[in-house]
Amino acid sequence: MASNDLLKGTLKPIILKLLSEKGRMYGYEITQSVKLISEGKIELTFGALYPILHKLEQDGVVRTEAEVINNRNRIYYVLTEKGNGTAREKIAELEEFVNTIKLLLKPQLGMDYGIA
Amino acid sequence: MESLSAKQVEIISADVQMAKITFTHLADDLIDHICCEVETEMSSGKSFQDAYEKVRQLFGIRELQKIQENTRYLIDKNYKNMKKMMKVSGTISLIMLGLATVFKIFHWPGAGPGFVFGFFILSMFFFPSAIYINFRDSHQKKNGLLHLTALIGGIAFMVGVLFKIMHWPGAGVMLVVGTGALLLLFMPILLFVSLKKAKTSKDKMLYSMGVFALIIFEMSFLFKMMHWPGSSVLILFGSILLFTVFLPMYTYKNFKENGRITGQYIFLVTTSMFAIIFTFLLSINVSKNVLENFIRQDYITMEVVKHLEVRNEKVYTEYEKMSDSIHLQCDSSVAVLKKNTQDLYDFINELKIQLVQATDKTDKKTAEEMIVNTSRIIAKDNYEVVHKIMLGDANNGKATMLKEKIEQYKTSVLALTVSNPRIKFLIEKSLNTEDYVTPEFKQTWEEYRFSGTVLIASLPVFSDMEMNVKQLEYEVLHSIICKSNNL
Repeated sequence: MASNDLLKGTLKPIILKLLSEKGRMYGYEITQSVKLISEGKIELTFGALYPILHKLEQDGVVRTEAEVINNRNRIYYVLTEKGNGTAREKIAELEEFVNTIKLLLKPQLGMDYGIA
Repeated sequence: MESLSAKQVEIISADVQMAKITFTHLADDLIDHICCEVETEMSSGKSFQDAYEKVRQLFGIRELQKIQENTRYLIDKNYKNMKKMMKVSGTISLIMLGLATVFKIFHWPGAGPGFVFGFFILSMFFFPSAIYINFRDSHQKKNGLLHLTALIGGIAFMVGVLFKIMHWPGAGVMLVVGTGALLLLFMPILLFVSLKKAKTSKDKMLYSMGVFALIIFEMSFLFKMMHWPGSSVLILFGSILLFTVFLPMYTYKNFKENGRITGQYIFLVTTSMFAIIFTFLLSINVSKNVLENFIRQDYITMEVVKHLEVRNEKVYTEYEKMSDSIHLQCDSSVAVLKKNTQDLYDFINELKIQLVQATDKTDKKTAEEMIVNTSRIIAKDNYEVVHKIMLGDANNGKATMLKEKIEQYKTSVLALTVSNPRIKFLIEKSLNTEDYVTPEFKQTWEEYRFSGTVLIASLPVFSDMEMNVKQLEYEVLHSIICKSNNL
């Protein structure tokens, strides 16, 4: 399981990525998707999820659609026009970051540059 | 996939309501999320009860509230800043007040500014931000008035306490305004809000009684601070109601509802204990018996002083009748003695009057009557005014002046009777102004006499000086006359 420290900055792009692929999702669905796709290695707790979703809504990146399902209100989150752009940006940013980290963690990295 | 019935959803949403989630659609989010979790559990064959029980372990009320706080913290700049301010100012003021207390105990300089600074931050930054956060967290518009009155009353009260500690003028007004706002506005509104919230009539009674007991308790505190009559009856009634009726009932109710002692309950009891101890310390009552002793002691001493006065007058009259040769020899000395003695006596008596005037806030005439009959004094156990007048802020009070006067008197009298070692010894003994020094303890004469002395105990100290002065007058007068008579 990935540690919280590592996850901290990546949750927002992960959520945006999921939303941009699936169109609209509700909170529980997002946590389950993350769990499923990461094969249980990343657990997005609902305590971490909802503050981020509300923040995204506040910033105009996502909007909500309420629907009554199984006797209760279900809030779906959808990327806005502006959100599509933000999502692309954030995802690209994370990808780049991950690639950089990969570079850094490559074995014998130092040797190639004659440092070591 | 199982799906929950309307009734089951109802149960879950009622529980989430308990956490008072009011932030836009967050409650809907959380209810749906919990429902989904329960449905997932149920699809593995569990009953609703078992499934919900398991899920509830993960999502307690505290956790739900935490999410709302985190959400608000992330979104609301105001909320975020206030919360930061609350934490920072709370820590700073606590450190300042703690250090100031330690400094005060050790008589190090700087305690005063520490108190002022700490209280300032506490009442002007911490308290308002804490109220704001509380207001935002409860987020009930109709509770605005409750928070507003708590804010005004609380600030006035805290500033009043600060003024009281620093012996600044206006402490009384501030405390009356603060306590008044809490008593007449905050408490009734609190009662109103709690009554609306209460579900059963038993709860209603409990809340009314709690607020009622608090009002009486606060009133006794106010009465005591202002030296209004009747505070002891109120404090007795208030504390009995609070501790033997309300607290056990509240504990019982709390325990019954939660099945265990919650952290919130422990916090409530601890803070109220501290508040109560603080109240008692501020309005502490010195035992009546102790005060009676001082009144009696002062009365007896003053009787002796009266007797000595009459006797000295007789000696002066006798002296008037003596031969011219004696008058020629002694007149100047006797005049000096009589004048200096009267001056010192008057100075000491004036101090008594000043102290009583300052503590009881009376006019001079009433104070003059009071020092004759000290049982009439109201603020018998006041030591702050005594300390302030006699010792000042840095040993620059009246006590130092008194010491100088006594020393001058001793020198002048000694000059009149150089040759008499017995009188020299008497003077040194009866008007001793040496510092109080033991191997492990050292105090100046001023501190030894007046530091921490309550008003009623300080008056016999003065009376004792008056008595000794009158006795010395007699001895010195006697020796002057005898010497010139060659007796």
